[in-house]
Amino acid sequence: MSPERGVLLGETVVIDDVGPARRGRAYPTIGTTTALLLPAALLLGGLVLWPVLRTGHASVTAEGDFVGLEHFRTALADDGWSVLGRTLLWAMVVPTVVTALGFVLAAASRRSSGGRIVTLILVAPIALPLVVTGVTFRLLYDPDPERGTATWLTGALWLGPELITIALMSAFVWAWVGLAVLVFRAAFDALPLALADAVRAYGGTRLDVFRDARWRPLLRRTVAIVFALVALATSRTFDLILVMAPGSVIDEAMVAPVRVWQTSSGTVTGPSAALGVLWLAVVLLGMLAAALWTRQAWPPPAPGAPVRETGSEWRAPRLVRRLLPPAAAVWWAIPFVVLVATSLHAPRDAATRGWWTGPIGLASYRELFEGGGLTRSLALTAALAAVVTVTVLVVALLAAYALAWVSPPGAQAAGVVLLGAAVVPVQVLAGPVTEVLDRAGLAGTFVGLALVHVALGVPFAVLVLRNALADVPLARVRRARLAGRREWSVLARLAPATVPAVVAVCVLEFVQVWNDFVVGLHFGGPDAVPLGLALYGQTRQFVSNSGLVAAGSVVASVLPLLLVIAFRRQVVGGLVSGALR
Amino acid sequence: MTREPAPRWQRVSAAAVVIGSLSGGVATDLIADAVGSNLGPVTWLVAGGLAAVAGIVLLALEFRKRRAAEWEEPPPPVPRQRAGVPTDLPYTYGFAGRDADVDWVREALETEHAVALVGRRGVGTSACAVQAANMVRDRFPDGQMYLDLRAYGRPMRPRQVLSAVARKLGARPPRSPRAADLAATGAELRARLGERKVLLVLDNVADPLQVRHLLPPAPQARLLMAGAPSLSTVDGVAVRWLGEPDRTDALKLLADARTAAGRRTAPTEPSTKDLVELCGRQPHAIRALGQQIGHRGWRAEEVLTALRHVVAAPVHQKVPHAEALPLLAERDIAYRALSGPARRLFRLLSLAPGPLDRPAIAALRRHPEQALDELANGGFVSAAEGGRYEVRPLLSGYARLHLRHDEPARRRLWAYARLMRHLARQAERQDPDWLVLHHDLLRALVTSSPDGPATVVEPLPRRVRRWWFRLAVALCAWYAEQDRTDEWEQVCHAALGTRLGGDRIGGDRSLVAGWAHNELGVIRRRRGDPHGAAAVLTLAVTERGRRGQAQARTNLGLALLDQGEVDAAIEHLHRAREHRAPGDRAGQALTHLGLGAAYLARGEPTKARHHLVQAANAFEAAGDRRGYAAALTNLVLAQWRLGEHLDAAHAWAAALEVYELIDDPGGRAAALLNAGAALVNTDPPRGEPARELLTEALRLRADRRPDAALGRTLLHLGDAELAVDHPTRARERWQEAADVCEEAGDEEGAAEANHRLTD
Repeated sequence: MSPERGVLLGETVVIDDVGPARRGRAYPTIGTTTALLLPAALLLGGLVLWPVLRTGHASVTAEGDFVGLEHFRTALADDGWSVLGRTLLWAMVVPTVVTALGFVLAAASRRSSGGRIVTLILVAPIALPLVVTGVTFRLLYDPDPERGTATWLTGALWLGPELITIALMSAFVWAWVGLAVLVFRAAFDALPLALADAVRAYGGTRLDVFRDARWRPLLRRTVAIVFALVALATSRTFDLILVMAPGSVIDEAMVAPVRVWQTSSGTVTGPSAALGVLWLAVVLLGMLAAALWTRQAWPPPAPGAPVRETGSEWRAPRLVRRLLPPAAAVWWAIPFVVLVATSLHAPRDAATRGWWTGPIGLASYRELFEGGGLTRSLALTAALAAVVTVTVLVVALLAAYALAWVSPPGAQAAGVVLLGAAVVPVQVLAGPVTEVLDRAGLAGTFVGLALVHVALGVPFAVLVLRNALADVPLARVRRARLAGRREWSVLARLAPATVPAVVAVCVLEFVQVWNDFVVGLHFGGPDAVPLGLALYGQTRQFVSNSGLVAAGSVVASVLPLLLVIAFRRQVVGGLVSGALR
Repeated sequence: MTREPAPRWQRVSAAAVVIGSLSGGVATDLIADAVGSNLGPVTWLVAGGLAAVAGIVLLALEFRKRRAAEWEEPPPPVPRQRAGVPTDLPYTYGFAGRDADVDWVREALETEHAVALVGRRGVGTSACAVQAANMVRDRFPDGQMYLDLRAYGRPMRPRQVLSAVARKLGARPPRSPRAADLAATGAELRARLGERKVLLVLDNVADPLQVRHLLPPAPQARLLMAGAPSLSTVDGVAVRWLGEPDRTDALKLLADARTAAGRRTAPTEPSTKDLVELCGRQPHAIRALGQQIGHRGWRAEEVLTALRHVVAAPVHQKVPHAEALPLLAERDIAYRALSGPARRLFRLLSLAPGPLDRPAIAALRRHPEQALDELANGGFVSAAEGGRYEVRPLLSGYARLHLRHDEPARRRLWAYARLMRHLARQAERQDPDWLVLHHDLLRALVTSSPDGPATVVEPLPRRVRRWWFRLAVALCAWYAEQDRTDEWEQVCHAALGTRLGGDRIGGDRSLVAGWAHNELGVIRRRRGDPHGAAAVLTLAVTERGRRGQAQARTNLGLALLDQGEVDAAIEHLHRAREHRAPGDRAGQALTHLGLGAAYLARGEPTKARHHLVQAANAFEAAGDRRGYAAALTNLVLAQWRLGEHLDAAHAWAAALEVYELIDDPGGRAAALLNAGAALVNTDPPRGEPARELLTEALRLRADRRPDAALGRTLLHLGDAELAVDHPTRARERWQEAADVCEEAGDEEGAAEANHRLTD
């Protein structure tokens, strides 16, 4: 028989399944899901959830006995209320300023000449470690008018007890406005143009156009997201305060994180736990409010939909467009200039003269690398960041796949728990986590430090990756499932579809670990001194060390700056679409 | 005759008296202790209270009595005569119709000595006999005597009968109840009558023994009897069976009763026709109803609506009060004459809308034999094929009335639940003979529940619901096997429309709906509508929840496979396989079978073979030969494509062997096609056996609508013709194959056929 005749076209027989209802398994993939979720669950349970519970428990007991609200009274006794109030003030004022500034700058720099450079300058501060920001602004606000430009210009004592909070806030605003600008720019690009035309066609005034075609569809949600992000971030003022505020005025700048750190001193104590619980409650309430506020009237435009001719008509007034962006860029560039200029002086010059005088040279850098301590810290931090990033990526990818496509019981609840875990402040966890690490014999070691970083990074990474995986088209998932027999291979086939989210997670995680100061301060030891901690150590004798500190800051800032600027698109996408969907 | 047990209220009142006296004694004692020797105000208070209670009770009793007396009895058709004493022949009152019967009696009395009219109690034998006797009064100048053999509600003994007749005729009553004495009295009576022309009318004869010694009567005397059907066993008596009056007579009875009760002009309402049918055309009930309609001015239309409601409402349904219900239920003479167990059985039999066999009747009521005999003898039930019994169709409405009136709601429901349980268990055995016999009944039971006439149907009670559902499932399983899709669909729709209530509404509701949608999806798939099937099955998957979705998902996969969405089908089948319980071997096998077919369609024979081998093993372990054969049939294709021709040959041989033993023409046709195709494609081709197999396959497909499989059969038949050197016939077959394949949308087959035609 010839080969082309050898085709056998037969008929297949199938039989329907009818008859009495048969009970089956509710969760057939429970074993796989458990395996996928186990690493994330262990990390979160051991290093986040258990510490939170332990803190809650410690806040109402003393050596095992129930004491009611005793610790709360102690914690709020002297100036506890003012500390809590100042924390809230931070969480209210700074986000408002950042949001407003970000909105205006985004609107003004949009489609203006040189907008790209302006944006770059505005965005750069996000990438800096907050310790570096603190160093920069401490240089700028130096009480000696010879050295401190701001003091020289205004004649006010910025780092004195009256203005210290304002000074801190200005540094924070400088660091965070870039993010707001980026997010608002993305939002403006996504605004549907036809909507404004429709409102106008129905006789709407400019106010109506703003309200119905811009505010309600997208901007309200964007504002809420920016506000919530910045408000959450104010819990990281810790770094700024420790670096910027001189020891004499630190009480005037005291906020909850610092107070918790001061009172706990690495162990679980009643009053600090009570303060931590209060603070946690405020944070969670804020999250709830933000979640309610971010619900929007209709779904955002589908990603990739071809509606790109939007927003060309939405422009700021001409004068603003011309003048504001360059002015902002110049204004934002000053601290960079101060930092770099200071670092280029010899240590003695930097300590005695202003940054605009004196010869330029690399003496500070040379001295910086002489001892070898900084080199060790750099290597350690790089290794730490790399290890943590890879671990977080693997653990989060497994958990995210399980939550997105295997649909275990309680996937919805898991989302809420993750969101909560992502916003728990480190200071609240510090005492219990130290206990856990002590029990495991890892306190103060590289591994312990890495574990804490991973546990703190996993929730956010899982959220971002879960959403990215859930956005993979069904057809592609089906193809992957047909091709691979096990869940692992399905995940391996799906992973390429999530490259932007993976990049965002990697960059954010790497930068976060690199820039970290809090975790290092709480959990580092003599064997594990990360970069932030090393810099902080040098700021003790700030004036005499200012050249070295500035040089170290520049060295520490280069890598995150490059990373964030290179991947800013993915980072913003990941932040906006993933974290708060 | 068995003594009927005391009514319920008597037992209750006896118990109340006992408990009341005991508690009264205790209370008296306590009060006496409290009061001491002086009667204080407390004593007077208690005494006054007791007096008031007694007064209220007396008033209530009086009120009930008056209410009961409101039902005015219509005058009886044969006026009451003195009990146990022969009297002159009375005239009838309000007699109508029955001309044929009366004429027959008149004629029979000329030739026969003894004539009997027999029938059910209350059907009108007495009236008819007396009417006939009155019409032939002239022929008996020497006297016409009438004797009611039921004195004081009890049948007279033979000695009493003879004594009464003897006293009237002046003869000597029998000395003792012994047979010899009775016979002597009978002979004396005959001698005394001699040649006199006397007509003796004996009414309400319950037993032939009562009249045996009066037979045969004297030469010129005539004996006319009216009574029970057992009279027909006596020799020498001309017997005529008297049925219920026909519709015209019944309508006339009703109209007469109305007129007599006061309504002069009786408009002929169309509803009266249905009304008399509802009463089972029982004369007494019709007269009573007519009396009330005339007396109170009821509208026949309204009475009918209310009664219909009572009759047609589902068992668990509450119905509004119908005033005519107690009137009718209490005036069924024949029913009231039954023993207690027989009455109950009669009521309960009306629960079933069709005939029941003895085990099912036993489920309604234990040990029904005696009661069933009584009902059969009394003309209440009729026998049906297969040793089954049902309430006579004429009486079915009346039986429902009795059920509503006499059976408390709870016991009514329990009996219904027992019946459902029995039938469901029986149906689950899937005995084909039993199902063939009963399936009308079962379908009526499963589908009738929702279409009550009430606007608001109460949900099916939990006690019944479970068995109702199992019955529906078992019935549908049989329909599925028989491929009776229309009835199957009807039952599924009825299940979807049934209101289910109770504590676990969500669970049961979604279970039933999920099941029904699963079945409906399969029905649509079998009818060749895979898109509709997929829609319904998607619904079923969501309704069945996590634990139950494997079945619906399997079917959904098959429907998608029919649509050509192979990838989606495979995904659903895989998920179905994961959701199967480990113990659900049969279900696993079905899903594996579907997966095998899907992978064949996707062109992955290795995976297909894996799943099909699993399916075949599982089917064989479960003893499902149909599934086993189907798996082997598919395995032929998989193995052949993998080049395992010998294994394929083994597989098709085994499949055909199994198909010889079971009745599955569709599967057999497929197996024949695969076998023939495999034979003709081997090297060298074996054309002759292939042609035989394929011709047989073609024959099996002859009466089906043309599909892709038919085209492929023709294609390979062409190959076989070519192999046995018939190129012309081969070309014809290929041409047909190309046409059929194109019509069925099978591009692959059409391409192959055209390719061969061009070669």
